[in-house]
Amino acid sequence: MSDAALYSLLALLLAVLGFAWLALALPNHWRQVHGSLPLTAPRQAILRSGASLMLGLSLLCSLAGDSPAMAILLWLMLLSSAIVVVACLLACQPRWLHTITLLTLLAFAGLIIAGVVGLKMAG
Amino acid sequence: MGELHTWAGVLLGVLLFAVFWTGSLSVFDKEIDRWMMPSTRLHWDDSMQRPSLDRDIRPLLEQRAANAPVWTIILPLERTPFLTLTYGSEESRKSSRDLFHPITLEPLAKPLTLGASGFIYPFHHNLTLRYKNIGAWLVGIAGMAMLCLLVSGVVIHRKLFSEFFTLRLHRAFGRSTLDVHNVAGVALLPFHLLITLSGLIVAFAIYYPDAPQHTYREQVQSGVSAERAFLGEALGRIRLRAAKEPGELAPLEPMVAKAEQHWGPGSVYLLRVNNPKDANGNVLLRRTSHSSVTKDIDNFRFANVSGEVMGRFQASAMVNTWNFIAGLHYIQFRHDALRWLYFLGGLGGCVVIATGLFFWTQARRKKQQRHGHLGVSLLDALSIAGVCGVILATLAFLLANRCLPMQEQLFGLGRARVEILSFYALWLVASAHAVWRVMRDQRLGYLHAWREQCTAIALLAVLAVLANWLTTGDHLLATLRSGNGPVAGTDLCLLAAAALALLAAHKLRRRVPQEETLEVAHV
Amino acid sequence: MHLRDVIQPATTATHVVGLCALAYFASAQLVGLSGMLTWWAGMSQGDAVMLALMLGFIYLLLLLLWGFSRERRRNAWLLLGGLSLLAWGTPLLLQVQA
Repeated sequence: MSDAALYSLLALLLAVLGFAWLALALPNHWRQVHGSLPLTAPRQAILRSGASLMLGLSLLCSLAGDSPAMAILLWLMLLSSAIVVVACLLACQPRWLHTITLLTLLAFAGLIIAGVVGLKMAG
Repeated sequence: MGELHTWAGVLLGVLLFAVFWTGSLSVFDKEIDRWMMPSTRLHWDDSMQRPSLDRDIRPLLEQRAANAPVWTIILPLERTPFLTLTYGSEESRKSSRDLFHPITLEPLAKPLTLGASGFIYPFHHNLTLRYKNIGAWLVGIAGMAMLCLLVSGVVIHRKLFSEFFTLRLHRAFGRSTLDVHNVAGVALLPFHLLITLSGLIVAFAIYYPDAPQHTYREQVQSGVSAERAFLGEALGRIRLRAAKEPGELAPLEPMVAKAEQHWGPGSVYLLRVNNPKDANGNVLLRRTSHSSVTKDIDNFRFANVSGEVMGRFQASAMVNTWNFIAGLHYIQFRHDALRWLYFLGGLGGCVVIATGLFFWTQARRKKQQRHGHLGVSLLDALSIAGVCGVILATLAFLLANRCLPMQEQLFGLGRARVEILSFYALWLVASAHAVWRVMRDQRLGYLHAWREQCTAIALLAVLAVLANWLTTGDHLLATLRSGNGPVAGTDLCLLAAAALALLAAHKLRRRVPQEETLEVAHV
Repeated sequence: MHLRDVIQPATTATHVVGLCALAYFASAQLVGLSGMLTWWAGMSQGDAVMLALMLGFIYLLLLLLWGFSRERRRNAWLLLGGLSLLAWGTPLLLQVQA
């Protein structure tokens, strides 16, 4: 897969993650996924800021793979796709949202660690 | 009062659906063209050697159109992998076009069709109603209405943004239809705003024709048309008069080389030779803009006889802003991911409009029950004709393209015209079917009509794929193996459409209430 | 069916179609005027007209949204009509003066 395609895919995954957290920050959907666990204000704040971070990183990934105008356009379209994906997950398999969120976080952490290690070894 | 509102909404919705449907297809118009014109299923990429303009192409032009007032040469490109030569004629404004193999320069078999780029795309922006631009005005009104709906919709439904991930698919059909409408509508809001506004801005010449009048009043006072002056200054479109004296056309390759010194190698894709045999003729060169959103309208103009640069047009920053907006709408730049996302976004818009129509008529049905069912039934018929009808019409267009014999004239009409008649004919048949169904059963007829037309869509889509296989031999497995993207993509999308239509028909079957089966049992 | 049932939808339809047409006319006049003003302010002719054209659809959108959100229909007509007249007349006046 080409570099640009990889960046776009990563941008999509980050966007899905971002909107998943945004959805979880809404009481209705939190209840769908976590049942009777309370959605406290701190939890909501974390979810919301995390979501913004993910969406911002998604934009950066887009920009890494394309010229600025096309990257922003692509990012907007990926956001639209991510909203639909998250809505479908919530409608059909809310539990998956939870699993995907955890798995993606793990993968993300893994990538960061790998990146840091790689830089250390190269530098 | 409410009736008026309802009818206006449905009429506008039907028009918008047609515009969004044909617009979505137009994103892949060149790919659908490959499907509809089998003789053009060729391959071209940037690494290949372009045909020589003077050695190969000039003789072809001399042979076919030595006395034409205009020659247009479009060099092969990835999405249009053939050489196109267009020649105007002295007598009529119509020009004829010939296609040639990009390497051997053999003339390709005449396509005998307008294709997606010749019918579906024009339908999208002017409904092919060219008289006094009536079609373009209708599309413009629909577009403006869409903008108003989007902006006012956001303001009115602000609270929705707190619930905009909600998709209750397993609830009552009406509820899930509304949810799909809301989620898709919100998700695609930026895209729809961009596309609708850019679509209107692109066509400013139709909607604000008198804009240059006051600014160009000096030119107007000295007898020049303001519009002509504006187009010349802002867009580089100038028309030079012929000297009516003979002149020999200089070699074209050096002209291209000179332009490509500034533009980069291999960037020239279009040459237009105005008045080729005239002393005052000129050659216009345009370049590709694959890697920028901004549609490039810069040009070089060379004198016929001397081959020297007569002028170079470079669009100003302001005009390039317009070109950027236009480029956003036309999506002619190279970016496969964005192209697919635009296609899906456009189809998403169709879903938003169709669910909106369905929900709108459902809500009105409850209100108008005491006034009798006729009005509501006709609204249903209109919705069905507007949504399923235009899809069926498109499939008829594709099927006719494959099934009609390859003769220039059929039943006394051009073959391309017969294909277009098939489009409208099936639309008419679908409308008649919808009206018949709702009249026959004013309570549930509309459900039967939706279901039957969805089944018809599935059937015709599969038939189209089969027709492609039988008439060209390029069946899906072959095209996938040989990497023929356009044809494989079209076939796959047809099959996907058939699957979705069958799913819809199946879901609709389950919606027919129990009472109906009980009625049948009693009879 | 009362006469009322015919007149009311008819007047509403006339109001809607008419106000849309008036808003369009107003936006077209504003396009002409704003092009001329930006040209006078120093922009090239082509750029001035281009800018005005791109803004024209925004003018129309704003005028439509504003016009149809008025409490009294009469106010929408008066104000849009007045704006049209102003935008139509100003370039002519300025040209006569210059």
